[in-house]
Amino acid sequence: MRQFAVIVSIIVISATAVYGQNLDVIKQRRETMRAISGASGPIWKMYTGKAPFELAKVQSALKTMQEQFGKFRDQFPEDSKKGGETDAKSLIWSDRAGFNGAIDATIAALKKASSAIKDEASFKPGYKPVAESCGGCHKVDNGYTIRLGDSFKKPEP
Amino acid sequence: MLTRVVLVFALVGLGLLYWMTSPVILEAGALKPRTANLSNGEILFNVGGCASCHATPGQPDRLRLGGGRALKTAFGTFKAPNISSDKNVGIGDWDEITFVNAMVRGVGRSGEHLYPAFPYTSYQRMPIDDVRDLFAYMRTVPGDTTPSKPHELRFPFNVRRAIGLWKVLYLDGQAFRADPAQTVEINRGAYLVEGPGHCAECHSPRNSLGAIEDRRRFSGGINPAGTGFVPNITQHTDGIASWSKSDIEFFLSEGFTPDGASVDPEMGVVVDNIARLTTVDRAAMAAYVKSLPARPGRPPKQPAAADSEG
Repeated sequence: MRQFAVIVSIIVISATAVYGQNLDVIKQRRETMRAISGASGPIWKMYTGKAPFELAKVQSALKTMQEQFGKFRDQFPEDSKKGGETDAKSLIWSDRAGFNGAIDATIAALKKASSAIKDEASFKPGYKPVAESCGGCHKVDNGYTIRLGDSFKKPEP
Repeated sequence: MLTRVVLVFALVGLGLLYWMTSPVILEAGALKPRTANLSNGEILFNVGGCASCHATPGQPDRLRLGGGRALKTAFGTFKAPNISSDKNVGIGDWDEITFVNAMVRGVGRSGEHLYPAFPYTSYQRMPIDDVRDLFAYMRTVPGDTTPSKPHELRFPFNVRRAIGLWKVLYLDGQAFRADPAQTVEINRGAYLVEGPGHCAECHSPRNSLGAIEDRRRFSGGINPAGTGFVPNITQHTDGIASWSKSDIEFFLSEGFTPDGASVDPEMGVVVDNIARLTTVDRAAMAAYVKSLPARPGRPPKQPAAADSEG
């Protein structure tokens, strides 16, 4: 009986290893990224001239984005490479240093933007490096994830 | 007897071929005396994107036109020549008519055909006066002494004379003609995009002879300068149907798509040029691009990658 239990346990544990990708963290990090993109939305409307500039909103959104990126950095454990609706590419794990570096660069750009953006005149030059840093992961070729771009939009889950 | 007949036919055939492939050029007498408009020349230099191909690679000065940039194509590798005002290795001692023939007829200084990697199929739309203004402006740009490098082309593409046949098929010699049924803005935009802007040269698919497929113009194509797909910019959902005219203007001046994606480096160089135009000219280009008829055209399917997303 004990042997049977051990064998079953081994089978179940092995099955978990194969099928039990960390779906929870995958879901969480997609929510993190949605929070980031949601925060950046109003800033982007101001940047493209579709909404009036509001310093308080910009600063608050930048703060949210910094916090969320801090979380995001830790949401890629080894057992979360596949599954759920993840758009993450294996390059994240094979080039972990590069991936972390890209996130750190974005956090740094966000911090710099927070102190640089004081008024409408400093808004666009201050935010531009942040907007450009999105491309650090969302690259055309050899990116860590899918591109930003309406031609390549996937439907929301 | 038969061999003699065959020989005569062969000679006549070769002679015809030689005549058909003769460079067609404008004579110097076609140029009336006039004062050049240097600021128009500068505008054309910017929208023409001369610096994008002819500026010395790996350095930031876009006015240093020492050439050398390599264009890897299916026909071999082209090396952009020095077009600075240097008298020895550049175009500093060219006549006006020589420059005009290069731009609108694709014929070089020694009467040789130029390869259509140099987009004279678009530049031929420019009226002669615009070409002359451009030349005058380029003569004010400092010279660079880097000698031009030769192209590295495979046989038969290294037979320049053969381009004469290609031109019979693909060079119509037509300058731009405004459409009286269209607005001033659309006409200006059409000229800038189809002429000096030569946007279709990258944004269109090409046939096996390297010529643009007319009916699929602007629907995207393999990057002639190497790898990757240059996007469809027509009003199809494969293209930029969801972009407004002001989205296009914003992209051309600031280098971000409506979603906030940064422009790719190859197009970034173009944006850097177009950003130097006036708001009116950029709006005109955007208006014309927004009016392009919808044509399907997506990147070719990538081979399945080992990745979860591919």
